[in-house]
Amino acid sequence: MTTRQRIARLVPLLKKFPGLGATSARELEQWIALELGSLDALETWKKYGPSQTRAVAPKTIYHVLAGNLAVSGQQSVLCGLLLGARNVVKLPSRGGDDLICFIEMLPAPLRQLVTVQTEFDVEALKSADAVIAFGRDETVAEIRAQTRWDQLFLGYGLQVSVIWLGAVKKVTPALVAAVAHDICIYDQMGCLSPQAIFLEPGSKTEVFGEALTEAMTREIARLPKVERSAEEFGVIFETIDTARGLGQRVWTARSATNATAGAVILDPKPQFRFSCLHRVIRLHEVKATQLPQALDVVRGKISTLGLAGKLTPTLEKVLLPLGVKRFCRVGRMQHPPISWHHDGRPSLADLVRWVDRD
Amino acid sequence: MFTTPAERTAWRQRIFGPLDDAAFNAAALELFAWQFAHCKPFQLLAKAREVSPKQIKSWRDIPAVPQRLFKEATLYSHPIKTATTVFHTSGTTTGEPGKQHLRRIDLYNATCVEGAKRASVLNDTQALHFLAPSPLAAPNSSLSAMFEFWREGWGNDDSQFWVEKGHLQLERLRRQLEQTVDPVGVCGAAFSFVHWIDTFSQADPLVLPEKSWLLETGGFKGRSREIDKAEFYEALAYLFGVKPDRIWNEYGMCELSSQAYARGPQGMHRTPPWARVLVVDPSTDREVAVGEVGLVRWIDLANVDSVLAIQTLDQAVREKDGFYLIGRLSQADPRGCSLTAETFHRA
Repeated sequence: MTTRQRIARLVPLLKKFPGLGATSARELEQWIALELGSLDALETWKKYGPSQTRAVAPKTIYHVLAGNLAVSGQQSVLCGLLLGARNVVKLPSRGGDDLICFIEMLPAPLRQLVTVQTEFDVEALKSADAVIAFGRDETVAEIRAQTRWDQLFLGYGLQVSVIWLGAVKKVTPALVAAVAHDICIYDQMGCLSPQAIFLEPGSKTEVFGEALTEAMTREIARLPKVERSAEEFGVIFETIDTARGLGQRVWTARSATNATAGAVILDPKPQFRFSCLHRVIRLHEVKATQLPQALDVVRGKISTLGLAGKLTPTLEKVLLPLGVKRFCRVGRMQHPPISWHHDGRPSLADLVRWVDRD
Repeated sequence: MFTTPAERTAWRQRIFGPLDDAAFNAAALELFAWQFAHCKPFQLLAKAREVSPKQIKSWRDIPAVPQRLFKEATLYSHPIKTATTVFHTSGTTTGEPGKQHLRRIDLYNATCVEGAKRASVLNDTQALHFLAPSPLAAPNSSLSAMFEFWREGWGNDDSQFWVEKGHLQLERLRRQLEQTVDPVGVCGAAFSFVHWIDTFSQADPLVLPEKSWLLETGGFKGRSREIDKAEFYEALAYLFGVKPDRIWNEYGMCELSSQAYARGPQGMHRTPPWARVLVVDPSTDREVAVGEVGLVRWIDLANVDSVLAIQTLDQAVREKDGFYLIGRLSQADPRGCSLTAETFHRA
């Protein structure tokens, strides 16, 4: 099966799984060409300086997936399938249903390239050419420790995303709707989900907080209902009541049944704090120049920085040393193009090896 | 209120005396009104939830402070400089301990001893052995303080703390227990007993004198080694030579002054009369039905110096006259005796 044939077979799934980040064959083709130099780099020799080269995909990839968000697992398997690799998928202990659904919907020739496991299989891991692991940093480190020295390993550990709005002098419906979307769509379960919002001191922060909560209520009503566990409710209310006990302003978003479905907390400390997730987010006032201190606790761990305005050279100078890997407009944080680098690295190119000839 | 020894003694006599529903309710509402007036974070939380002492008629409506707030605010109902004792929770993933400030240690002392006595944990003067550091070595540990009160009240001269310079002295304790002819009590954090199991799993089991007992507290969440409770009690019963129903679990925390106890591997937890537990559904904030799972909320009339109502992230099954503790929510910070035992602080 050629790359083009695999793409043709994958296209019907793209529309069913919009979180993958591509909707057409053309986007997949462009992505492969961007990363591998040409669409048929896996099938033909290409000019490479004075010589020729071609890409060789790993024969087998062992994927260890996390349960927080199905889309990251789907994308991982998609990468393997595009390259024509055989994929052994270790499902997360919880939250693997959407991934199984994705795999079951694959056309038969591609479905044959995927094996699902519920238990971690060290032998399968060691016999794979490449290993892709998602999870907590400790989990990724443990998996890496079990790989062979000559095995290709791609680890995706903890990453967080934040929003920088700058000076908000006017709170527009478009702005709060965009931010509410980024917060709500995946229940803040992914590394692209914003966990905190920073604004310049002097902004209309309280107006923004209230309007954002109303926008979140609207967004929650629009999105499919999230079935909350007792655990999730427990940590949500713990966070809200802790903020209340500290005298912080708390606005709550409501569900269709008028239950608490999210919250915005105005935190006077100009420092990032991890959210309890599940549509709970803190607002912090901080000067742009103080962002390095505010984000120091997640230095090197920032996936996406959502912006309300443009990425100015001044902002770039402040934020690049923090290890930010993506900048994008608010409202688009959860929908990056499929070609964007994953934690700063190319998703496909990192999986292949190159064979040269004269 | 609660400032002079006489006021505190009077309160202790009131809550230790006959306490029917009406008396419990009256005392709880009175204590809430006083703490509302004197503990700022409690007042802020109550106001944000639109609850005030004048509005509510039932202790069930007192807003509960999330346990985490003890890590982020000072929950103390007196001027801070009057605190004579500060207990710390064990470290968590964030490394910030929660702190319980006490104006005087008197009520904590009394409730620790009286609660254990009423639960029939403490019955006779005997040798009490503690797999914990002494209060001198761990002045901020409420567990060590409680054990010391037990030792003072019910321990004989052979009683001892068996952590020295941060290390459990298991071999020495074992030699001592091998020679004992009278019933003893061995108490400690659950993870300390796991160390015992790991150390002596291949050794001959002890045969402690009849009526000896063990008391473990906390759980294993957040540590690499967790053991099923039935398996844990079976191993302890075998290695110490006691019946499984001679093993107690104590459920308490540094932020509280009272404790609940359960006996044996299937034991149900019960609180003393001056403390009650509501098992609540976090999505509705209402008590779950009997037999259903929810989160543990304490109302502790002995917790006068901070707040009487505390919402935990501990899961339990509500029963008619008690609850079965399941454990801590998986999303919550690892806390409790796993870390307690490792760091020898009390959770």
